[in-house]
Amino acid sequence: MTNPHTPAMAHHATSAKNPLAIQFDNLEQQRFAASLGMWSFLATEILFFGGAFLGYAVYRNWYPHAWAEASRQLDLTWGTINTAVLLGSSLTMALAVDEARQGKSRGIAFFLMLTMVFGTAFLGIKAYEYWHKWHEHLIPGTSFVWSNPATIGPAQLFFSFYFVLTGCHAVHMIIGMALLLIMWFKARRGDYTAEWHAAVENMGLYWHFVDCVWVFLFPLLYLVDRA
Amino acid sequence: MHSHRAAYFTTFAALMVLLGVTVWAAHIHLGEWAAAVALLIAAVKTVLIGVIFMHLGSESALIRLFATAGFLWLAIMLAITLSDYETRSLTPDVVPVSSAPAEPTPGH
Amino acid sequence: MSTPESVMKLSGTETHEPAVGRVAPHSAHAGDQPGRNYLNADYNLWSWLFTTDHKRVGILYLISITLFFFLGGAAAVLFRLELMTPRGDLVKAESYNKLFTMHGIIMVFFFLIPAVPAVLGNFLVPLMVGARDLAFPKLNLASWYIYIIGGVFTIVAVLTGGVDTGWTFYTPYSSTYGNTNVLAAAVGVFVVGFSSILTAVNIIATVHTMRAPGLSWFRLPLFIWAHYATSLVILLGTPVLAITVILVGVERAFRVGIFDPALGGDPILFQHLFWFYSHPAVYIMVLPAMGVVSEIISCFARRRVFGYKFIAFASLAIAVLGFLVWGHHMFVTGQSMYAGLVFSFLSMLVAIPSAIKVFNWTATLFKGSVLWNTAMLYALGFIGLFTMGGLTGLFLATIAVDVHVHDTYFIVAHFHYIMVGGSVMGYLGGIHYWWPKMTGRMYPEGWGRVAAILIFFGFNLTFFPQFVLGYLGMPRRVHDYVPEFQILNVMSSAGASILGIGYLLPLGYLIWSLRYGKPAGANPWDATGLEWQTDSPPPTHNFHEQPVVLTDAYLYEPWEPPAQGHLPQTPPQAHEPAVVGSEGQR
Repeated sequence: MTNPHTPAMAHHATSAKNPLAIQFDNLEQQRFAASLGMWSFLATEILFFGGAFLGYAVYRNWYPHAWAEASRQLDLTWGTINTAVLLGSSLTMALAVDEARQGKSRGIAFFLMLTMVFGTAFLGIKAYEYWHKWHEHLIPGTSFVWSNPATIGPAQLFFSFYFVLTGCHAVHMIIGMALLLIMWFKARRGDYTAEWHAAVENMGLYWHFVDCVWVFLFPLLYLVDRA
Repeated sequence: MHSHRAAYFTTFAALMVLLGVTVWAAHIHLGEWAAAVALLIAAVKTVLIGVIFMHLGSESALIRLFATAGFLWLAIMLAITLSDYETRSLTPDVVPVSSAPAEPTPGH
Repeated sequence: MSTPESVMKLSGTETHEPAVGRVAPHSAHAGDQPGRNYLNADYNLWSWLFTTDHKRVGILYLISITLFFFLGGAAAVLFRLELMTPRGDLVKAESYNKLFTMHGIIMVFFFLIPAVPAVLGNFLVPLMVGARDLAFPKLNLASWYIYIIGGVFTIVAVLTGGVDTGWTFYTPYSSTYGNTNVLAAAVGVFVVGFSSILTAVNIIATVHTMRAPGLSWFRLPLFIWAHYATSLVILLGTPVLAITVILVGVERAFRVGIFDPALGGDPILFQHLFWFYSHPAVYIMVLPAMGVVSEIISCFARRRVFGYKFIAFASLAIAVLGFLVWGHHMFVTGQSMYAGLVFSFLSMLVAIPSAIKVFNWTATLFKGSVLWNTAMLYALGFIGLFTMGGLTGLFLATIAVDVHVHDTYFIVAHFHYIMVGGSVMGYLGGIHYWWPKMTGRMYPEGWGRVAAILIFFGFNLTFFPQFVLGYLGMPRRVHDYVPEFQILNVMSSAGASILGIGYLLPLGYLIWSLRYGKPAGANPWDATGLEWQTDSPPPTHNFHEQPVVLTDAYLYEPWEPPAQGHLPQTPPQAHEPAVVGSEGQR
């Protein structure tokens, strides 16, 4: 936490297991600060995706029919399955936090592993969908192929937003998976106790947030108009 | 602290039901309301995740405030920007949006 | 909250509560040694590069933003030289475009935005709230590394050919037509945004959770209020810039056309997204400087700041209203006329909290015992120049005027009055005011005043003629001009050289003072804030004992000569009754 050579650290080193950082008075204060920090970071994330949602809203408003047409090219079955998979990973993440609150290291590790399995499944399905779009020449740019010449421009806009939004979401997933993996090792080592497991709590907040983003992405991208 | 396992499983079940509802709703003809219905269901799911999975139900008022601030600011951004787009075609000397290229039946 | 009873209760219950569970609390003065401070705690390079001490991170930021400031300044020197003559004889049009772009990107993203929050904020926020460090010291160090990585990308973009889009990256030029290093510069801007987000998260968590016992919200220094408001703006604005830069980068890298009119896209959408961040970014630059000015004015007028709550809430009002006005950058773009009217009206509203602050500072000066020292000169300069910048901002918020002067030097002059006349003056004032605290040394006061006066006059000579030039119709971002404009341009360049000397002087004497300056002592200005209650320079964990706050901020009245003792915000001795419950006197 602190500079290893400062006098205060000498004090710190005598209690190596002490999770209380030097700048805090007690663990409740430290926990609240961690939670508040995470929530303020999540507020920034809302606006990060929000900027892309704004562009989406403007163009969908301008070109409702072209966007409906383009949206129907997405694979609804795989999209729905993927949504279920991701919601499942949120459940396991919530259960991991639940185990952490009771200080059960093995339970934390188990549910973190399950969360990673679901996360991997989600990314695998997403990769398959991307590959499929590549195959169908639906990647925007010079090789974009579209049967209706009247809507080729807006259809490309739709797919640009599809790839930017799902791509940003996938990057968040990948970062989350990396953090989960580190956390899994630490949980097995017994780093988290009932008294101090703010990292697991914050990991949960991040993972659920990424899930919420997908909860909006799914209807906005896959369900523009299926009637 | 005792376990909330049952609450999490119930929430997950509710989320699955809502997923089914949103897919079903997309297949019935709702016209202009389709987007609103889809967003409403997504919002309900988000509230469920936020309140139960993310423990907003038991967090302090300050943290709930930060959790809503992002949405509030997003609403500001969307509302003001879209009000520009919605009123552009009312301005006589600006090219109306509806004559923008490539849309056979414009939205307004 | 401010009755003596509640104070005592607070201080009694909040100091060193027994910790949760079996964990032992840290004591504030564990292992303290006399003569040790954050600077001499360790000397090797690693102890700086891996430090988590907020004061050392502040110093790292100070060094790096100073480098960027002079880099951006060098570009300005070159194009001011070019503008001495109507023809383009020093640089070609392309090089000129790259020079002003480099100046803009470096000054906005790598100097102005981090200047006060990341240097002074980092250093002072924990000291002012009576904490041992920021809430997340490792994130704080990470923020500096992220800043450096962003800076490296930007410098690489400049060295490998430069960027010519202007700092605004307007599409479709940036996404489709420009053939310079837009991507590298965009990555730099994207990356550096994270460093300010981390700083903001840290400040917010620290102010909310780590205030000393008794330090209620309305006892906080106004510097803290300003930084809190700034952090909110950073949190809610910066991510929008990040996604905007990603969209431009994707469009440019993969030729997909997100803002491309050829596919039915809208370049004006880019401007909405860009200004949703970049207009509030103006407040990221100026709000912290306002916080600095509140501290300096109150200290050197030896008066309680007038209308404390008004200034505090004005900071929050500016932060909120600042998000509602971005469309005034887009009056002539094809934005809806009706949206333009609303944006015009809302822009006028921002003037209200800004004016409240200016009036309150002036009222604080009224009948005060004003000391004309260096920091005060900068603060007074801030008030005058910021007022001019703000008032010309009202001209620009008026659609009819804006149509006339849009994209002329009038705009350039206006925002330099805010950003240089406001932010840079505030930053320099703050650096001088807290230099004794940061380094433990006094700077030479005479040189300080000379530099402050040079900067004030150099600044006005540089930028006032640009108001005239712009009103007469000289467009910005063009490297040659009609001969009629030469005299005003020569005046501006002459002013710029005075300004340059004014900026180099502090660099010289402040470095000189590190070795030869008089030792400062804990509280050379006889100021009241908590940061003055500890050593100069402070020890690694800031305070020898946990401070407990018993009074409001800025209790400079009644004015007594320094020799007879100061009025600290944490009086161990008794001098309470008249000041503690004095809400009614305001």
